[in-house]
Amino acid sequence: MTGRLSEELKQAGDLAPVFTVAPDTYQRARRARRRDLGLAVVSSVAAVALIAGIVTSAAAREDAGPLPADGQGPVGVPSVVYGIPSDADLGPASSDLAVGRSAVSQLTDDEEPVVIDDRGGYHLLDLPGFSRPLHMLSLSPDGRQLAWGWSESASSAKGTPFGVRIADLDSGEVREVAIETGTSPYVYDFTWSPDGRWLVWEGIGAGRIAPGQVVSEPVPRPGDDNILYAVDDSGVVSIATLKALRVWDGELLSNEVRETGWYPSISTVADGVLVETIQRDRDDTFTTRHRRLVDGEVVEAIATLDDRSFVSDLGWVDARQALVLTVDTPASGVGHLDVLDLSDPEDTTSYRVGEVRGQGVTVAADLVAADRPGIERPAQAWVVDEDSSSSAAMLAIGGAGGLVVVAGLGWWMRRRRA
Amino acid sequence: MRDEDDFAAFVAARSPALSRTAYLLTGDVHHAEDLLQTALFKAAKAWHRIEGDPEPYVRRILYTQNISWWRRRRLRETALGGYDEAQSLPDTELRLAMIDALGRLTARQRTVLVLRYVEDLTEVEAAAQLGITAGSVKSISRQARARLRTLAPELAEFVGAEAEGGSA
Repeated sequence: MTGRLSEELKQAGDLAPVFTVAPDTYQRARRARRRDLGLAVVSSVAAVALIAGIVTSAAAREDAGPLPADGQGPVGVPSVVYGIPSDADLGPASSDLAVGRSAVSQLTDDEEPVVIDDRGGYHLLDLPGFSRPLHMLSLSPDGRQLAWGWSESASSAKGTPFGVRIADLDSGEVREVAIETGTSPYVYDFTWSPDGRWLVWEGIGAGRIAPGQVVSEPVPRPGDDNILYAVDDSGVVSIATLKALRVWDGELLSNEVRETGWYPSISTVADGVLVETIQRDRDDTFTTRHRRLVDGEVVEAIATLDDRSFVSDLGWVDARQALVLTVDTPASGVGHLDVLDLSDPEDTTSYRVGEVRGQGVTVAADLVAADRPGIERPAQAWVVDEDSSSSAAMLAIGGAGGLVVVAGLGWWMRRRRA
Repeated sequence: MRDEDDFAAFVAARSPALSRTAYLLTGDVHHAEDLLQTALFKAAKAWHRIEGDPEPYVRRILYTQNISWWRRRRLRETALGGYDEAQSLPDTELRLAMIDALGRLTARQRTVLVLRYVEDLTEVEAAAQLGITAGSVKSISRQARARLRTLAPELAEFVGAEAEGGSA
C-alpha cells in the first residue's frame, strides 16, 4: 500500500514548477557572511567587556572590604565600621539584649542604637529609655556589657528622672542605675575602666558606678568644655581639662595646674599609668605624656599620627597600647582606628586597625591585638561607597554595550528577513 | 570565483528536483519558492565549508527550515483551507486531491511523508535528518497517513489501512 503512496506523492511532486533562483544569491550570501563575522566580533568584544565589568564589579566589592556580615565570620573588630543609612534593613529593633559579646556599638543615621557582634552580625536594639540627643551608649572593653543613658521622657527638662542602664550582653539582664542630681537628664559620654568593672558617666553632671552597684557616686565636674574622664581598675578617676589635671577617689587626691594652650586628647588610665596625649598648636605633632600614678614619674614622647589632627581615646588594647580614633577634622565623616604603642616612651609608634564611617562608635578594645587588627567583613547590602558605585557604573556600561549589540543584531536580522 | 561557479552549476542542475521537494514539503507554490530560496541562500553562506556533494546539505536545510517556519506560523497554517488553486497545475483529480490534502497537514507531517515516501529514507535515516527519534518518525508518519485518509477518503486506497489505530 505505501508503495502506491510513494508513487502518488512523487507524481504529485511533478506538478511543482521549477523555481527560478535569484542569480545574486551567492553574492548576497557572501555579504551576509561578512556581516555575520563582523557582528560576531563585535558581540565577542561586548561580551568580554560585560564579563570584565561583572568580574571587576565583584573584585571591587571585595576590595571595598567587607561584604555581608552574617554573624558567622571570625571573631574581631570589623576593619570598616560603616555608617548605617536610614533605609538599611536590619529587621525590627530587638528588646532582647542577649546578643553575645560584641565588637562595636554605634548609631544609625536615624540615631538608632546598633551593636555589631564579635562575628560581624548587626543587631538593631530597642534600649528602654534611650533617647537622642540626650543619651549615648558605650560598649565595655571586653564587649560583654553595653551601657546607655535613659530617662522617663524625651524631655530635657530638669527634674526628669534619668540614669544609666547596663546590659549584660550574654544574659540580656539589665542593671538600672538611677541618678539623683536634679540636673537635666543628659548622659552623653562613658568611660570604662580597662577591666570593664568600673564606669564613669558624664552629662551635665558626672558620676562613678562601682562594680555591680545600682547607684552612682557623684564625681567632680569642672566647669570646662574640654573635659575628659578616665577610671582605672581600682576606681581612681582622672579628670583632665585644659587648665588642670585632677585625680579623685571619693576625695580629691591631686590637682595639678596645666600649661595653657595644651589640649587633652587622651586622658586614660591603665595599669597604674596615666597617659595624656596632648596636641600643641595643632601642628599635627602630639606630645605624649606618660605619668605613673604610683610615683608621679613623667616621660614625654612624640607621636605623629599620619597627619591626623584630632584624636580621642577608645580604650586599651593592653597596658601599653591605647586604641584611639583619629579624624582629620571634628566634622569629618571618616576616621581611623589606630593603636598607639607606648611601650617605648622615647618612640611612640602606631598601627592602623580599621576605618570608621559610622557615628557614635565605641569599640571593644579587648578584641584588638597587633596580630588581629580589623577583620575583613563582607559588606551589608545597604553599604554604599565609591567603589561599589564605580563598579555599578562599569556594570552599567557593560550592560549597555550588550544591549547595543543585541539591538544591532535584531536590526540586521530584520533587515535580512526583509 | 570558483565557489560561485560551482554554486551556480549546482543550482542549475538541481533546481528542478529541489523545487519538487520544496513543493511537497510545503504543499504551496509560494511557500515552496521561499523555502528553496532560503535553503540555497543558507547553503551559499556555508558553501566554502561544504565538502563533497552539497545536495544532502541543502535538503537538510529544506527539511529543518520548513519545520522551523511551521513552528513560527503554526496558528496561521492550521487555518489554511488548502493549496493555492491559481498556482497549482492540475494533472489528475487524484493528484490534486493529494496536493490539497498535503496542504492541510502540518509541516512536520508533510516533511516526514516526503522523507519516507519521496526521498525513500528509512525511519532511522529520516529521524537523523530531522534530529528526532525513529519512533517519532513512525508515529508522525502514521498520524499523517490517518489524516490524509480523513481529509481525502478517495486516497485511502493507497494511503494504506495499517494506520487505522493511529490518531486522526
